Amino acid sequence: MSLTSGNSAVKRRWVTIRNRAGLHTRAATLVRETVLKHRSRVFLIKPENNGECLDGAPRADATSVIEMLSLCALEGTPLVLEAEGEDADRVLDELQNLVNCKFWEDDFAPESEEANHA
Amino acid sequence: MKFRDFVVKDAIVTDLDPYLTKEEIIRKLCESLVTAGALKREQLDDIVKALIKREELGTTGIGMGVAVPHTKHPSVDRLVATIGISPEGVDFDALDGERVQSLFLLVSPTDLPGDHLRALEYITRQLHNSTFARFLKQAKTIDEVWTLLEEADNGKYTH
Repeated sequence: MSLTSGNSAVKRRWVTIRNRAGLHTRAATLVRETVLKHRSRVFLIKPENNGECLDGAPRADATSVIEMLSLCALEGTPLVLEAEGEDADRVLDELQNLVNCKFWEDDFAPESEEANHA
Repeated sequence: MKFRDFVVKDAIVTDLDPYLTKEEIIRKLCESLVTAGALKREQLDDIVKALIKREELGTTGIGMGVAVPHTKHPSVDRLVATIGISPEGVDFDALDGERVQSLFLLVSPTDLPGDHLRALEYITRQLHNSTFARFLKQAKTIDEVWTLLEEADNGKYTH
């Protein structure tokens, strides 16, 4: 799902964390690395009240692993990816893919050391 | 989840030498957990190896002078952690390139990813408070660290 807010430069995508370990340190580091390759400012928002309300919802600067960890995004947690900037669509595409591919864990590498040391 | 649920008080180390390597820091903190009775002596080498292997996948020096070295290990049946403080800061290959003054080392059971993430959430939420983060880096004794953790558990640094 992709929506554009009233401000045309701000774009949002709704995703759900799908990997068993959730948005843990290495997953958050992958998000950070992806964002740093682009120019847009990106936030992760943990919506409250079944996603109805984003005002006041916990949000994390996607270049800060500390802020992302403080969201406590376990498996099954819905998140809103919000980007503002000239390459907002591109960074959102990559982040959405990263989340949907379970940060390359679980089904993608179930027996690997990486999955074991999340 | 609160600090008292997973931090082992007697394993806290407040005088980490700034010249220690990442591997030496990890070993020192794990040995402290062994001495405190939270890890088994015979598992020490294996746990240290697992922690270092995790660091090789990407640093857990997550910025702002904080590192959270962690691993899962079958020898523990609940999440255990210790804290290392280095007032001068150690080189932990942090994401922001800065030296690390506060380390939270966590060892989790293999089947409880939720507890691991809840502990990280709790740690990082407290560190958002600059007073807590500053006092932690300045703590000189185990009792000073523990008092700070108790204050945090009582909600002094979060609302």
